[in-house]
Amino acid sequence: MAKRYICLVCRNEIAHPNAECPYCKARSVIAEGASPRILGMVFGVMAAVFAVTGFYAKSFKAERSTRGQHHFGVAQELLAEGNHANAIKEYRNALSYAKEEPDYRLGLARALFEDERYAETENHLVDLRSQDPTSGILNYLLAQLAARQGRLDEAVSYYRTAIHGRWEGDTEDRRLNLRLELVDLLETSGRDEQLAAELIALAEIMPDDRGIQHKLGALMLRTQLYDRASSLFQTLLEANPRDHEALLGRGEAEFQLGNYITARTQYNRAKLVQDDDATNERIALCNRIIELDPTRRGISLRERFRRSRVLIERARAATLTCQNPSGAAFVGPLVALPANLASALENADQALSGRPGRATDESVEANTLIAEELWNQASPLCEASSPPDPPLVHVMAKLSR
Amino acid sequence: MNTIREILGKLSTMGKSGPVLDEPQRFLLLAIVIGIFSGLVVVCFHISIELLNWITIHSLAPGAKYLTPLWPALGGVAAYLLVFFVVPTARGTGVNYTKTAVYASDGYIPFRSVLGKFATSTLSIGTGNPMGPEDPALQMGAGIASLLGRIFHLTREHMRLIAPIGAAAGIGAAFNTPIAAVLFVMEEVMSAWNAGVLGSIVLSSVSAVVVSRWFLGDEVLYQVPEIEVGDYSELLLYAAIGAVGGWLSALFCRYSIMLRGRILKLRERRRLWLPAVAGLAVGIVGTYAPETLGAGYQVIDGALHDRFAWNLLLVLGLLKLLSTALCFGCGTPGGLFAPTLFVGAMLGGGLAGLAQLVWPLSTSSVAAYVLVGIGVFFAGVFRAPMTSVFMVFELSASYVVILPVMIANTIAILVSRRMEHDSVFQMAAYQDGLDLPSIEDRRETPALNVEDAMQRTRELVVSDRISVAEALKTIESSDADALLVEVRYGQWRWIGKRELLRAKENGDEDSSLHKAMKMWPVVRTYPDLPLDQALRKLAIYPALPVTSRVNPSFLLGTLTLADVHRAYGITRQEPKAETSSVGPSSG
Repeated sequence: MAKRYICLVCRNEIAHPNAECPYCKARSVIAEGASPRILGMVFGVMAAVFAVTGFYAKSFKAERSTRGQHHFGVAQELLAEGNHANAIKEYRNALSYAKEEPDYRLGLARALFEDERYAETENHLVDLRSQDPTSGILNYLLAQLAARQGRLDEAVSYYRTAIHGRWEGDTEDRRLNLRLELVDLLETSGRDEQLAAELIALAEIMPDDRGIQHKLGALMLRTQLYDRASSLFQTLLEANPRDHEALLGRGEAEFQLGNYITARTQYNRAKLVQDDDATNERIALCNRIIELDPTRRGISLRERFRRSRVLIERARAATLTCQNPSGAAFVGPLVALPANLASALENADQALSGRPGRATDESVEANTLIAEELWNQASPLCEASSPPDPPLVHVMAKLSR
Repeated sequence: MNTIREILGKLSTMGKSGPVLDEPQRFLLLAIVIGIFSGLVVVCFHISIELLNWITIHSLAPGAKYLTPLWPALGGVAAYLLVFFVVPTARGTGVNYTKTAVYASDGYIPFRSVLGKFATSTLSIGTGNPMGPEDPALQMGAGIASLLGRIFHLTREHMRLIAPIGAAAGIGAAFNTPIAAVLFVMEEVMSAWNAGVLGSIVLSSVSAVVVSRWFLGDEVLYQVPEIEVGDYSELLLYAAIGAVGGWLSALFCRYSIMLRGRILKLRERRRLWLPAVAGLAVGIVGTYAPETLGAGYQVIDGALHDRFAWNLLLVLGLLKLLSTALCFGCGTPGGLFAPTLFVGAMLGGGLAGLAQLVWPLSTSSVAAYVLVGIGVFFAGVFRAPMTSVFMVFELSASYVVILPVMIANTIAILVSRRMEHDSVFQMAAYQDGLDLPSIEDRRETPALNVEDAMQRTRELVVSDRISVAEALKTIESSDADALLVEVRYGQWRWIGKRELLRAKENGDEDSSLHKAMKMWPVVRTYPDLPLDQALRKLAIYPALPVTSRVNPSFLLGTLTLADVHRAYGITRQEPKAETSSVGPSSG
């Protein structure tokens, strides 16, 4: 196929470049198109340039990679030495050779974080995270950053994503450590509800470390997860029955659950391991509660009846104390009692006046109800002052449960 | 083998049996070939700049930083000497060179200029001069396209179009933004929105970017972090950045062109050493602020990531502005694209930092301001509003920042244009004695349409039922030589004065037109068509009916050559009295 010759005036094809156009008689003829030889040559040259560029680019990339890795290595060393400023410089140099290398950018972000340049750190991390949203390490660093900047909601969210994110290597250990860090964060920030949720999750994958277990037990006590705390301390005690901390912990958990006898037992065991005032006080309190509790199993009906009357007396006394905390020293009119409380107080007075009746289950029940009613009605009045009678408070709490 | 020959043959031209690829298709295919070639060359160009940069600036030991000024000085003078003695065609801006090729030399760009631009720009940018590789890449792409056009023996009209196709490929590959490249070429090189060549420009740009990414990876020039734009009160801040950016860009254009003009007045031999002086100054600045050396993409990346304090950003922007103006004025090879983006980014980031100190309401991330700054300064210097908006969009891959960018860029262009009427390329072109069209000029002188010239009367329109005598009376009462006749729904005919007179002589004076005369068909025209198109029809027909597009029998007016002349302001010379002589008057 040869070139095509075209008349510039009428666009018709003509035979020869020098010929006159047979259609319009013009002589303005140009050649259009290219011979296969030229086309082949063009594609051949293209292939050659492609090959040369490929070789050039490959060598360039190799050199770039070497230089980048060199700077990255130096930066890692500097970061490990704590020389953050120079580490940042080296990371930047590394990145200048490979902008897209996530490890370099991550390293830079870490160094910037250590150098407390949070705004830039966050930009790099958010950038990286947009490319890899499930990365554990990126979410973890963002969590740390947010925590350090006091953005706790974001920090918790990033921690959770990091916990469920993708990690390389020892995954389970990392997840556990992250959970513990998150627990620490929630503890220090006083977010007990979130802390409780996290502790429940942690209980499922309880680590072997006894120190951590003790700490978690204590946190469970703090977040009122008494059941779980008790069983955790029980597990610890199975391994070491003389674990003082675990004994105290279990004692406290059982105490809070209203199992005062079990609690006393644990406190007594703890006392055997290490005698101290706090434990003795706890034992004494347990004893006083147990002695006051009319619902305790194994006591006679007569004793239950007696205790129910004592309960009314002490509830009455507590109410009067709340009405007049200054006692006899107070001069002037007392606070008027609400009608319900006045009525409950009157019921209590009636129950206590005259001779005590016969000890029956019904009378015990009735007394207990009077005491409870009085206690409930008095509780708003007593809220301001500290509980006047700790054993009474616990027994009443147990009864209300 | 024969099959390959056959395919190549079919590709190269049309067979006797009919076209395998018609002309537009072959043109598109050529656009892809141009894109691939341009992409390959730009990849090599990019690598060469980087390698030279490593060998020179990056290889300096920490204790030898005082040697930094030597490299830009050496690079600048070496590049300029090459331009002066070996490749004078590599002189000047690539945009103007390509534009000249399009409008003055039928798309001819010597291939020597491609090699020259490659070598000189590599020497200059690679040694730390604060210029950008995009403008040289644009010229290289155009040069490659021109060479291929010549090899393929393209027609003159196609040769004129081929250079912008290569230019788009070059800039697309260099900046890794295919859409912005297409728009830049349409706005700056073509200076017109030419739908006919758009497809080819897009193809070449995309194929060049694909080649570039193939070899260099998907790395974008900047990693733009996630952007959030705060509340709408912030638009005031963006508008302020637009105003400041527009003002600064106009000053940049004015003083860099002024410096260039003064230097151009020097004798050529004396100009030889000026790039060295500029390079030395740039190097001294670069010793203390290395961020200002080279194209500066990494520094923009740093600004996007909130790496610098606001006052440092402003200082860096100012230093870059001065050093770029100096190098541009002294003729150091390289483009203005990258430095413009650098200055804009620093300006946007710096003003954002300042705003965060004093602005009582919430502000967006610094990255948003940096991007807006990039668009603003670019728009102010190059007056390419579409490119400036789409470039930011392509860089950020986010629509969030588009509204602020559009507002700020518009303000920047308005302010800049008020201070300096022309873009930096136009000013440079005027300085070089070139009168090249610009899209703004074209906007100011809109093309005339048929509706601007047509007569909105029925003076030249008659019914085919009237007599020849009536028709003659009508035609004699007007200046026209022909009348228009509607014969059926939307079917128009014309009759000439001569034919009417002949019919009268033949005694058909009282006969109706449709019986007495042969009438010639005439095509309709529409009021929205360009006058040029109607003029071509008037070469065949003496008058044209202007009808509605939806109802061809609804006549809106008529158009004659006299109407066209009137629309263009050409007044017909009335013939002088018979006694007056024809030709130039004596005395």
